[in-house]
Amino acid sequence: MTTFDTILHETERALRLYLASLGVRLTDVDDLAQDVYLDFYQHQEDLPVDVEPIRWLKGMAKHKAYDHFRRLAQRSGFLQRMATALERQQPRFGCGDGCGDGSDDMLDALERCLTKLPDDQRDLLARYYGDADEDTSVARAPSAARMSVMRLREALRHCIVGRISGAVP
Amino acid sequence: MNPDVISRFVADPLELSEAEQDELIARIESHPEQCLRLRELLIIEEALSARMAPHRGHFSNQVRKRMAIQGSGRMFATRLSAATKGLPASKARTAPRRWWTFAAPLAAAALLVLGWFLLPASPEGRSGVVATPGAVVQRGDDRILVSTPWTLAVGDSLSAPADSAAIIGFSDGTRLALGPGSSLILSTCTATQRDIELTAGTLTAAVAHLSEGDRLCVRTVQAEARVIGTRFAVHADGERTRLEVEDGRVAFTDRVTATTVAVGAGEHAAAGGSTASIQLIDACERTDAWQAGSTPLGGDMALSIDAKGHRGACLACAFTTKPGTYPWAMCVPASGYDCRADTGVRFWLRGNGDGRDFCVQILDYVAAIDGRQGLDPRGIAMRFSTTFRDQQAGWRLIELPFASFVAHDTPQPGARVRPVLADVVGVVVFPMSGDGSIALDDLEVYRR
Repeated sequence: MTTFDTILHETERALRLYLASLGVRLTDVDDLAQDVYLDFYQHQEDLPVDVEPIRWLKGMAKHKAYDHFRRLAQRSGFLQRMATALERQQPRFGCGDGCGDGSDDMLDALERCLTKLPDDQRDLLARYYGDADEDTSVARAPSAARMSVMRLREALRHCIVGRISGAVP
Repeated sequence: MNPDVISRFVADPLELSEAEQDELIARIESHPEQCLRLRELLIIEEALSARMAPHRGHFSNQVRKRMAIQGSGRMFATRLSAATKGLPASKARTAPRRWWTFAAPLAAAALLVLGWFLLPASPEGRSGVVATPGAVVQRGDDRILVSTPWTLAVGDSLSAPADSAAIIGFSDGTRLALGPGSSLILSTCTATQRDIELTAGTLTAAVAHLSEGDRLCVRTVQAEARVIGTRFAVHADGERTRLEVEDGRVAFTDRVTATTVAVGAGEHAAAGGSTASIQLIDACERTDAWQAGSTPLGGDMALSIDAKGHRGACLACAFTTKPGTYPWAMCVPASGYDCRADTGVRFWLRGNGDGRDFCVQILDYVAAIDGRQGLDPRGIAMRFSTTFRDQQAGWRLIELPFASFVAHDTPQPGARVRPVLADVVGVVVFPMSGDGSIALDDLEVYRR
């Protein structure tokens, strides 16, 4: 693999998590991340030799996110303020602004936490996130399902924090 | 404040009312633990979506595809720039220019203007001006070797030198590059219509925007490509015509069957030669021509013969993947296939209808380019990839046009981003994730 391929492979999950953690909508995360990689590919020579690629990419992603928020004219003020506020808190997993590529641990923990869920709850998540058909997607329908997903998200957060901190084997 | 406002923001950051937005901002600015909770929930939301939404599973491929498209555009621009050296730049260019970027176009424009006045003027508008020394114009019985910009007249035949393209510039910015050794006839050239007969070889076109009613048409014996505003190339020999569209759309008419298709960017169409045809690569009734493996090691692909194929027996593929592994099945025919005139590869799939995505790669080997004859061609062939989704249980025909394949490896500047197809030495099929089984039958190259 080329250097770029290696960087892409090793950082894309962390970069997408980072963009999402700034409040970028899921529907826009991949587009923005792709833009970041295209820009990075065209200006690879700008990467300082002593800087981890993920840090560099996050800097680019942050600018992309703020540009994106500005384009969403009506809500831009709110989203930019949210992103600024969110950046002040370093998440305990999933790679925040100051860390290297630490997303693998978080994703491993997520996998383990998912296996602990009952089948019906895993099915609900699969339908909520995995159904590309908007007409039948759970995400757009019953509020009860959305509430269940919200609770599951919280449960997964506690589980991941527990695993990453070593409280849960 | 609605206690669910954080969760609602996670589900959709734009869902909140203005009052709720203000409250949320105040909340997370004054309660760090709430801010931390929100940020971590956003991360989990993204991680779950990326893991479970099928369309988000190919992020790297999507990046490479966009890069390939950009790379293709850059390569085309470079080729055209090199070919049109000495002619004015296209009007379509919008990038900021420095003063020296105007110098060459202005000088060339001056040459064109000079040619316009000094050479015999065409009575019709938008005449093409040939600005390639060494090109030959046949006008009636006169054979003219072009040494200075030359205005073509209707009925003129133009032949490009054997070692370079002949460039024709039109007053509206349209540029035609007639490939080395190629020839054409200017059939019509009016203010609104330009018809060109490509008698042999290749013609690449960068066409300025056409107004309503305007027409630029390239004809061959077999076909007609009518421009809708685009960049494209037409290759013609005595038996066959092939159109490749780089940008925009072209209406392509097969003059034998009188059928017209719209060919979009990255697509191609062909006419003439033999009609629709199929070349069997492997009947999938034996495993001799197949290999299995996993990249990297860790996944598993087991191949066997199943008597219940679509037609006769078929190849059953049972696979087990682990995160980051891609178990594959590769067809390795005894010799390569020249697929340059073909439309794509296809095979019958017995799927499960589970929505799983699969990747198909073709191994495109060009020894002359690689310069590494003697090595295993499959080891050094370029890989071009496309994907399909298993959306239907039971047998169905999967057709994958070559136009849908993009370079698997990141295209570096100057690298090929489209397959040459002169020597296809293998076809690889692998699942993008999960465990399961499928069956394949009748792997073919098809042409239509």
